[in-house]
This record gives sequence, structure tokens and C-alpha cells, in this order.
Amino acid sequence: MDRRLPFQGVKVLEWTQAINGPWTGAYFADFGAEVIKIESTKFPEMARTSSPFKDNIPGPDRSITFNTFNTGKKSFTLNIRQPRGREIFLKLVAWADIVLQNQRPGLMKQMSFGYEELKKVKEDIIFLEVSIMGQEGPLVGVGGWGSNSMAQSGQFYYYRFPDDGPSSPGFTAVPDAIGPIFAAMAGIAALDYRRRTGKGQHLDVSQLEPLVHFLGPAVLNYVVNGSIQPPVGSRDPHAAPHNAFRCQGNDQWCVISVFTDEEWRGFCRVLGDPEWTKSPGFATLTARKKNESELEEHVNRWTAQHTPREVMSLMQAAGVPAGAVQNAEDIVDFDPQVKARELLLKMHHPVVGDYLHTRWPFILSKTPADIRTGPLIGADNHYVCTEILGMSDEEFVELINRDVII
Amino acid sequence: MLSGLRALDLTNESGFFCGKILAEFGVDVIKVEPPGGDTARHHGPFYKDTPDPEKSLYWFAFNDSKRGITLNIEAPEGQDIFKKLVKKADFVLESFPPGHLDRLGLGYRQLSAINPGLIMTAITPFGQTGPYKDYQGTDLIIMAMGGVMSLTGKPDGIPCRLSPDHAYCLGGTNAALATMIAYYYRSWSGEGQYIDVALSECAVRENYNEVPISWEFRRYNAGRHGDIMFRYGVNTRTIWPCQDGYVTWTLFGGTIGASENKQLSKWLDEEGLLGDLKDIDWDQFGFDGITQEKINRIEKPVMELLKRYTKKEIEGESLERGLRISAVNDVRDLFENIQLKFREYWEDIEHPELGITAHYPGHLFISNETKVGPRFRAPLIGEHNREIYADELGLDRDAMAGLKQKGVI
Repeated sequence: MDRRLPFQGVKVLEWTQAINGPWTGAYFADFGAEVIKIESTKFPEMARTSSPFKDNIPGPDRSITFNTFNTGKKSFTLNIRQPRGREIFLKLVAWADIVLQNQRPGLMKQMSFGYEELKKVKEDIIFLEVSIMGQEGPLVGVGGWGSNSMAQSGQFYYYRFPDDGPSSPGFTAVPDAIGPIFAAMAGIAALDYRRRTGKGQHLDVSQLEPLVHFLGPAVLNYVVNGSIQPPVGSRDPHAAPHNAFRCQGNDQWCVISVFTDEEWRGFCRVLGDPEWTKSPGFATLTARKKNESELEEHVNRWTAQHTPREVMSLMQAAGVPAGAVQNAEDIVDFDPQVKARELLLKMHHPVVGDYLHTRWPFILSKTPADIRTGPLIGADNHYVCTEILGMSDEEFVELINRDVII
Repeated sequence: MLSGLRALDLTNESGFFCGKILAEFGVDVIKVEPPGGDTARHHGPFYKDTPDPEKSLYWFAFNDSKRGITLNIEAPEGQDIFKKLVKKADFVLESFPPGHLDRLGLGYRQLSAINPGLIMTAITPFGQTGPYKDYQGTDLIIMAMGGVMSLTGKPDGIPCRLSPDHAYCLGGTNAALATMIAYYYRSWSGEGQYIDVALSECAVRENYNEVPISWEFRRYNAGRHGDIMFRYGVNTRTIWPCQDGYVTWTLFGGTIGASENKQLSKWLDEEGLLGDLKDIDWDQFGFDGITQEKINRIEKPVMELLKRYTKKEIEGESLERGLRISAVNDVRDLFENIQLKFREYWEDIEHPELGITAHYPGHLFISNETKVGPRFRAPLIGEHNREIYADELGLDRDAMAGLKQKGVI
């Protein structure tokens, strides 16, 4: 099928690893750009060495994780530390519209692949550098992981109830899911800027800086009132009941979120208007906030008799926001909304076999994403050398023999 | 970077963040509020803790760099005016329940007939289709349904959502990206389109490590572990108490952890806390077949070490010694953060009505060409009615007074 995609004709050259950089490149690939990923078979990037692996056997083409962040890309295993490899890399820079990288900040500059050098090869290049803390600054050396940017940006401070210490959402490094969105926007806006002005640019996208915006009201509260807004956990200053409540079953929880009077009346109706709901202590939001712990005890007594899904459907039928605290199993195997909207795509990979992949959480009516599985390592070496760089087969073989292609 | 474009922003708090980002990229975002102002103006915190629709810090934080008009789009005259505005708009952002704008005659089909290049971005809790499409969803409900909440909180405690409004900010960020992708397509094809953004799906995508990978290949639900990370069959601590708060650090093995672990051992040794850890060969250390007892033995002196110092001291040592320890910053710490200071992050935004200039979270990233970040404060109620209705649409004073009387503007 001949599909039109937003970035068709756009060329991206990426030298990336783990999640932050690769995920950025995947947006471009899935919406039509040609994305060439520079790799090395000697030192496969972090995601290729991350579990889970097909049949639990490690191998660069066996990582499921790698495929999550590298959909639709082409893989070119080039030794860019070698003079001939370096030359080829710069030819690809000249070919590209965007050069994307998330190696250790400063590394590309050290290798004489800084913005100024790339610009000499291609005047209007867009150099998109993504990182945890940014390319420059006193904390760049700390670097680290998503948990470092969660801590630095003020996020971790709020992942808790007032009386507890902060909690971590396990392996899920929230900034790794957010940073790439900002990086992709920076890249798209730069493409558009170049279309209108003819100018390329240098983009330094950190995870830290955009994330601080997520705490905007708390930041301003400190700036203008000098107050440090306390964490509220799953409660909310403008709603009650507003929390997770224990349900029937082992560690089963639902959530209920009552903001308006109308929602409160709907909530009481679902419970059968028991006597306690008529008490003046719960009549208004102000009263409910004041007696919130007692209110939550009442709610817990009722939810304990139901499953999370029962609570959700009973409450939603009465117009009350409610849901289930879903785990991975609930979402993958049960959630009818996820199924109906085909959020999880069935993919096929030549080594991994069949697996599921979460599509992007937005559907563009005319140009939906075209999501293809990640490349085998070095799968596109021949294509890149002969089709893009115009080499003969003999030259290509020579590059392999000389360990330029590794 | 995206100047010369216009968005009409009909969203409520679940979608504010989308328009905020577009505005910070330079788009002329016009926030359309019902007469009297958006209900989110009643959300605290407030300037000097005084509840007032013109003093909501919640409103300020998520609507900066937008202009604002009031318009009752439920009234036929309001709908006519809105359609006139759509002719000159590039984007319409909305977060009404599915079908609501269609019923008002302002759905994508009707508006794209007026302006075929229009990009319409619809943000809803569960999307425009499917069995849950009419379900109500708030920030809490979305975090729960998306799965991240099942990972956060103490093992024996209540599941904890992430920071307040996290799901809304995350969804708005995704919506802004989707809008830009559609815009890029339009830039060469001329075609507009409709975008269906489901907040719950944004939350599932954020939960990338568990869904679908972990369940599909490990048949494993991670669960809540508080300040501990459960991996490779053992618990490792990820958030550590220190003298005045918390810091984050996680033990790694293999080449990823070796040099850092050696540095940390050196520090422990200097503090007289190394003990029998001196026998560990960090070049050989890994998580293969490691026991919980061994992890505990490594973590115990680290816990004692970190308790001796403040966040700031630890951050200094960490930098000096090449460790990946970061302070768990509160909002006050953010302003002392040397990285943000160095990068001239904070942006001064004037509030002439309040007689103050406030530091706002600044640039979204650094570009050598243009600045992308907050430009000016959020609009007052109906602040730009005159600019839009009189100067642009050419309504005269009587017409505006008439609309005002009828409660249209």
C-alpha cells in the first residue's frame, strides 16, 4: 500500500543507546523518516544487551527491549573511531537532515564531531543532542539514569504520601518516557524552522528541564508564597473521596475521584445512600476534606465487597470517575479498551518471533504511524554503502575486510 | 520556533499543557474560556493564598504564553464567532467528552469544511472510541488505569499516584507532539487532520517497562516496592535517607558499575565504613546468582555513610568522586540547583497586576537559534477580547456590548 507519512523524505542519522536517544529517533522512523542507526557488533548498544531475551538467551538480536525503542530503523555497523569510518560517518552527516545522539555528553565533541565540525560538512544540519542533565553544566558529569532526573527535577519528592518517604516506580524511569517527546518536538520544530529560514541549528535537550514544568504550580507556590507544597499521594486538595481503595481479592485496588457535588450524589447513590453519607460531616467538600480519614474508612468498607472492575462500572454508570489500579497483566490480558483500540500491536521479528508492542498513544486520522520491528544488527550495511553512499560491491567488501564495518 | 501559527485552545485542565507547550514554541495560542472564566481558575495554590480567579498559580503555571478570550460556544452566536476564528486558525485543541463538539456543530467534520488545513487535537481520558470512551477520567483514574500506580507506593501501603497532574502533563506533552507531527505533514501536503489522544494510553506508554514486555515475556507483575527496586531476583535500594532528606543511587554490577563501585569503596574506606567490602573485586562483581544477603552487606555501610551528610554535601562528593548519586530535590532545592543556574534556566515573567516578577520554569531545551520557553504570563479573564473581536473580526462597540449582555462573551 502506498502510504503518505509526515516525515517521508526526512533523513535522520543517529548514534544512540539505551532509551532516551533511541526513543526520540523512533518517532521519526514510525512517521516516515529514513533513520539510520550507527551501531557496533563489538560493543552493541545497551538496549541490545538488556533482558528479556528470546528464550532467555542473550544476543544482540534477541533483546525484546531493543525493539521497543528502535522500530522502523536501519542498522549500520560502522567503526567511526577509525579514519575511513570517520570519513563515511561525515558523508552520512552530509546526507542527513538531523543528526541525533545521546552518548555521554562531550564525547562527540572530543571525537571532533561537535556541532561546528558537523556544520562544516553540512551548513544547515540539525544537531539534536539528548541527555539526562544537558550537554553543559556542573552536574553533567553525574549523568546517570532516569532515577537521577526523577530526583533532580523534583519528581521523586512527590511520589509519596505525606507520612512516607518517596517511592520509585520500579524499573520504569518516567523521564525516559517523557524526555524523548520533547526531543522529538525540538527536532520537528527545527525542521520546520529550516524550511522557512534555511537555517539548521544545535539542540541541547535534557530530561531535567522540561520535567520541572510538570511541577509548575508547586514551583510557583514556592516562588511567590515561599511555601513548599506538601506531597499528597493519591489524595487531592480539591476532591474527596479521592484515593485508591482496597477491593475484594489479593492486593486488589480501585480508585475513586469525587470532585463535584453531583459526583458526590452519584457516589452516595451507588452505595445505596447509607446513613453515614447523610451526616453533616460529609455533606460538603470542605467537610469531607476535614473528615477524610473517616470518610475513607467508610469507602474502604464498601469497596472491600467488590472487585475493582465492579467498582469502576458501578461508579462510571453513575457518572463518578472511578477505575481499577491495573497491573501489567490487567492491561495486556484484560483491558477491553486496550483491546478495542488495538493499543498493543502484534509484531513479528525474524529472531524474536511474535511479540506485542505498544503503539503511540495518539491516532492521526490521515497519517497513522507505520510501525515496523527493529533492525537486526548490521542489517542495512550493504544498503547504506551501495544505495546511499554509492559504493561498489567491491568497496563494500573491502570495508568489511578492513574492519571499518564491524 | 513555530511563530506565525495559531491555536484555539478549548481544553480544560486535562489538556492545558498541550497549548502551553505549543505557546512556548511560539504558536499564538488563544485560550477560549466560558464567560466568567475557566473553572480551573478556582484551583489552588493561590498568590498569597488568597482564592481569586485571577490569582490561581495553577492557572498561571499551565497557561503561560497564551492569550485569552471568553466565548460561550454553547450559544448559536458564540458558535458563529468560533467558526470565524477557525478560518484563520491552524490548530483547535479540545478536551470535551467524545461527540460533544459534533453536537454543537463544531466537530472536525464541520470545522474542516470551513478550513481544510485545520488540525484538530482531541484529548480525552480513554479516547474517542471503545467501550470506555464515555467513562470519566481524572489524573488519578488515568494513572491507575495506565499501570504506573501499581508500581508506586509501599508494599503494604496504598498505591500512590505520581506527582499531581502528572497524567495531564504527560497527555498534554504527547498531544503537542502529535499536533506537530500533523503540522509537519500539512506543511508539504496542505492537508489537515484529526488527532485522537487518549490520556490512558499515554500512561500505558509511560509504563513501557512492564507493558507489554514484562508481562508477555516474564509473566510477572512488578508490584509496589517503595524505595526499593526489585530486579534480578533481589531487592536493591534506590532512595536513601540522608541528613536532611533523600538521595537516589542504585547499585549496578558489571562494567556499568565497576568504576563507580570502586570510587564508592574508597569513600567508605575514608569514613572507616568499608569493613569486609574491601574483599570484593568490583571488576568481577555482577548480579548473576547474587544473594540478598550479599546486597544487604554492601548496602548497609552505604546507608550509614549517606546518613552522615546533607543532600548538598552528597551531591558535591558525588560529583568529585564520579558517583551517580543525585539529591531528591524539593522545590526550594530546585532554585539552588547548580545545573539549572548554570544553564540560566529560570525565566522572569512579569505580573504587572500583582506588581511582581516571578521565576518560572524556563526553556524546554537550549537552541542556538531561538528561545523555546515561557514568554509571558497567562491571560486574565477575557483579556484579549478586544484585540480579537474588535481589531480582528471587526465587531463594533455595540455588537460587543450586545454579545456581552447575552452572555456570549
